[in-house]
Amino acid sequence: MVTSPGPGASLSGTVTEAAKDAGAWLRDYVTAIKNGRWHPFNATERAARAATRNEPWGPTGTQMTGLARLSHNSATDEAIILAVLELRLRYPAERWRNVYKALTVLEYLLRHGSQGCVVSGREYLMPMLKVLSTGFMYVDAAGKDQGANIRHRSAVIVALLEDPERLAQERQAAEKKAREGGVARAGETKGVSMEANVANLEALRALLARPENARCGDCGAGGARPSWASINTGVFLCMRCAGVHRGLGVHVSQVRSCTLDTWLAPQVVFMAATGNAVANAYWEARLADRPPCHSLTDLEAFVRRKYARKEWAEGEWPPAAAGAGGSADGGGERVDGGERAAGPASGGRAPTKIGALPGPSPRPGTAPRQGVPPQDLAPAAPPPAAVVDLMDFSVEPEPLGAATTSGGADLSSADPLAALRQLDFSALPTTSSGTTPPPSAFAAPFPGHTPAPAPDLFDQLASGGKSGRLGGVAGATSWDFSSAQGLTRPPPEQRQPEGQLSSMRAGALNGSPAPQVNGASPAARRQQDADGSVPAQQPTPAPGGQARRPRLELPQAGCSPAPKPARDARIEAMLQSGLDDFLLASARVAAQPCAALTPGGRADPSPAMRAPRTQWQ
Amino acid sequence: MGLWLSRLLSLFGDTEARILVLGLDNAGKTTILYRLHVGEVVQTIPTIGFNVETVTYKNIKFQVWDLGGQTSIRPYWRCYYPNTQAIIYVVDSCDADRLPTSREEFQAILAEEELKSAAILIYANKQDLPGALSQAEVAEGLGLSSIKTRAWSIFKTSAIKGEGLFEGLDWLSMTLKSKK
Repeated sequence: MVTSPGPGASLSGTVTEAAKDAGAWLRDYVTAIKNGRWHPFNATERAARAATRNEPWGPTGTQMTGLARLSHNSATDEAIILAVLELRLRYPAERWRNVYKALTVLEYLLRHGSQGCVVSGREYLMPMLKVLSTGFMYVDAAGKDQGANIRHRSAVIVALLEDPERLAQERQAAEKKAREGGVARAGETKGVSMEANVANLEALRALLARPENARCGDCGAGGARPSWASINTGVFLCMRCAGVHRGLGVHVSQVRSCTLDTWLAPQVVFMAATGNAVANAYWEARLADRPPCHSLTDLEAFVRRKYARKEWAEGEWPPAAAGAGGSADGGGERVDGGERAAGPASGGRAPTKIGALPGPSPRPGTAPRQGVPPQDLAPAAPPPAAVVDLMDFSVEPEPLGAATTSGGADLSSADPLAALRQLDFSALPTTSSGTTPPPSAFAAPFPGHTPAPAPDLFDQLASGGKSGRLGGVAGATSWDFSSAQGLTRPPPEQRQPEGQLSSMRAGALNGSPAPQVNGASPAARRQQDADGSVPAQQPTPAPGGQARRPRLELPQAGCSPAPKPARDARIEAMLQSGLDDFLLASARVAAQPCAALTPGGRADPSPAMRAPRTQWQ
Repeated sequence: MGLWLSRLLSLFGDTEARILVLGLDNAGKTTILYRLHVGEVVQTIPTIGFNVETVTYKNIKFQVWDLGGQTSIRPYWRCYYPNTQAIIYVVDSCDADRLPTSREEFQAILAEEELKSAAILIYANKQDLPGALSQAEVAEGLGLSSIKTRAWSIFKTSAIKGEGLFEGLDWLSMTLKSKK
């Protein structure tokens, strides 16, 4: 059993695991030699022995699940496991613990293991079980009858084996539970099959790999890789901007995670047809200079002006090429049942023609974007080719001039998922040229980790796990904290994923992050929305404002935000001079395997939240 | 004297309750949690994982867990179900398109064995936004009328304005006290 330290495991935990594993291996080796064998046991035998060892704990659920899986694996493995169990059952009475654990494993295998376990249990082990159920006696030194448990357990097993009907029922129930068990199949949602969703998320990853989507569509220079998207405004966003977008209301922007949410094919197609370049060509058509967004308040004001009030928008939205696509389908995850059953593209909406996706010219609002960093401008030209490639259906591509009425896959009639499956994402220039799509900073810190569906979840777990706070207000806070002071950010190669960096910084500065209290009053914010007026001056969250904050109690260590310490000029100066060093240091830390990031010996407050990682590995 | 009195009072008062705040993504769960806890509107980012705070109200210490609502995180809600006295289910009243999805999740929660005795408080949130569904429409959308066997109540709220939240907690504290 080779332990594979996941990103979430702590270093000391890994070492302990490795030591334990080595100890177990040595022990098995010695046992093998004692039995006249010069080679150690194979993996299956070791697993079976480990589960039935003379130790006061176990067999653990993991061990038993592992054995059940092995028994399904091959007849050899099944035979080995049963041989070990038989060996244990024959042990003398003073080794009652081995016997009892063998019985526990056997019972589990009868329900969850292969059919062969049931057959051999009935044919070979039955006589032995019957003897155990009546005749096993052991009273330990303290006078406790340890045999009672064994007699009881083996009687239960005998009864189970003698009632094939009940056994079959229980096996069926167990199988059903394993199939449906929520945690085991996270990501499966109603209406969208796991496979379809995986394909959709894969498609989104390819989209995110396109150069124009490499930066957040709103804060741009923020440096965080987008992993969120607004499915009606067509932009890819970083987590912070996604938070701001969510505050706008779904009538303005509908935010989905590119890794954690379920996507429908039309939504992905819509994002493919828009993306940051096309979307910003519309939303920022008349924007000469992007205003600097130093604080969250600035950012929120900018986003409101951009999307809610459409101050700089010009042209037609959604772009003719993208059609109603996914944007109009607010239903999101739902494709089955009910009145929406006919699928997103039906229901009175004009049928969407994917065949008519943007060629080189039909981009609305062709005004050049000026307030964009040069890195953004360079790749802005090539996307048409990529888009055409992307939409490489089995159908012959139409001449680029041909507009919406020409052929191509018709979403309203064909199965949208089938249409998506035909998308040739491998043809994307970015992916085919060998430069692997940049989940860049996300993939780098974890050597053993493939850039799987939820990189930002990993990062949240790895970094946020420190405080028990995996998301929420943490990132927003610390970002604001640094950038509000006008601190320079490091060059891109030193930058870390937002969540990681921010929480490390927060951790270093004040132990745990504090909630960012929005400077603008709710009334003012709503007024902006209602009548389109912007308060003349957005109040910035001045340090003085912190004093107004009501008491923040700490109900659970490590789980609640602490108030930001009041900062005086001295501390600010120190921070300004020292932060670059700190960022460099944190870059170094992040370059190590992530195991080092989580503190050792601390109870993980959310063991459940870790599960997806193992699943996606 | 004061110490003795407060000890005596605490003997009678301060019961504890474990509350889960659930709902689809972007329903306003985190904003509600911090509105209750800090009393202010906090700028949030999507919750990947959970937030937990203690809110003391009417002699009840509510330990409020706010869990992330993204599709792939929802299956993990059930890990938090044991020993939960009440659920606060938050609905984005403006998101009529996803109300059916919300209903599915809500009905799944009702069917959970571990939550059989939990009180259900529904917040029809974001009432401050234009086009928000009314309390009755949300109730119908969730299928509340079919609940016969347990305590539930729906309140229209605006976490941004702070309206309706404490009325809901009033109901919850009354329900929890009467259960004891």
